[in-house]
Amino acid sequence: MTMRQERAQRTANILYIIFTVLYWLNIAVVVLAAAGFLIQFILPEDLFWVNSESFGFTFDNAIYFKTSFPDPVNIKGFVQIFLLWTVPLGLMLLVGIRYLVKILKRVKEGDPFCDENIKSLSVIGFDLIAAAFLVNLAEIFLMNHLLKLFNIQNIQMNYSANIPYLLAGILVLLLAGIFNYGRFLKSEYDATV
Amino acid sequence: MAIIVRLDRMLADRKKQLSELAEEVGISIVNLSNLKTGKVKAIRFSTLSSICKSLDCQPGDILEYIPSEEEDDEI
Repeated sequence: MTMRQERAQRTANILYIIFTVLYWLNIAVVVLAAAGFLIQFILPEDLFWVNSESFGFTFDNAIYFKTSFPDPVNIKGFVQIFLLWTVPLGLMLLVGIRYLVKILKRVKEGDPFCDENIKSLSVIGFDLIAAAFLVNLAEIFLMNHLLKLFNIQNIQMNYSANIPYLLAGILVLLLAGIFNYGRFLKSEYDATV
Repeated sequence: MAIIVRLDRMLADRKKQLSELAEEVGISIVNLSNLKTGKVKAIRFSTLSSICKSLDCQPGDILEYIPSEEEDDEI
């Protein structure tokens, strides 16, 4: 085994541990969100009435909106939408991480150019492309609800796909194609004496 | 494939064992056995050269071309 291979396997091993932890954390988040969605139906209504002199939120992590609502506002609808969207988005992330862990496991074992890795990469690519459309849809739902809840005027939200996710998905699919060619070269190399 | 490996015939002519040849050529018996049974797709010039040196023969003594219909279809 060459030093380069050893280094790649060592890196894959570290990433494998990190992403396995993330995978289980993600499962916990999805389960908690699903449980939270069910539990909020039996919680007393009083819990969802909030009031605040100063409340801030952001659409894009760049512009921060500040508002105040001295009169109590019921946020149950917002909590419902938030929890409801956390489940499918969490599941999508779960699929991506699961297949990434599978790839890292095979790289760790010294077999990066196998059929399963190509399939895994394709799944991650399609998962990212689907996420590109769903993540922004979820944001629109949540933010529209917030705007209505706090009666914020003069802000219009437009739907568009998440371009970085979309590009990442296309890139991963291209990578799957490159891996496919790598697998072909490996099979040729293995069948040469 | 249209290329037939006649390694077994050459080994019999030279009265050599596969293990002996593997040791002299410096490749594993498994790979040499795969070559003998035609399971490999390609052979390196360096391997062919070592085999020819070890068996004291020409590449043509080991490899033989037999036209086949399969190959015509592939082309």
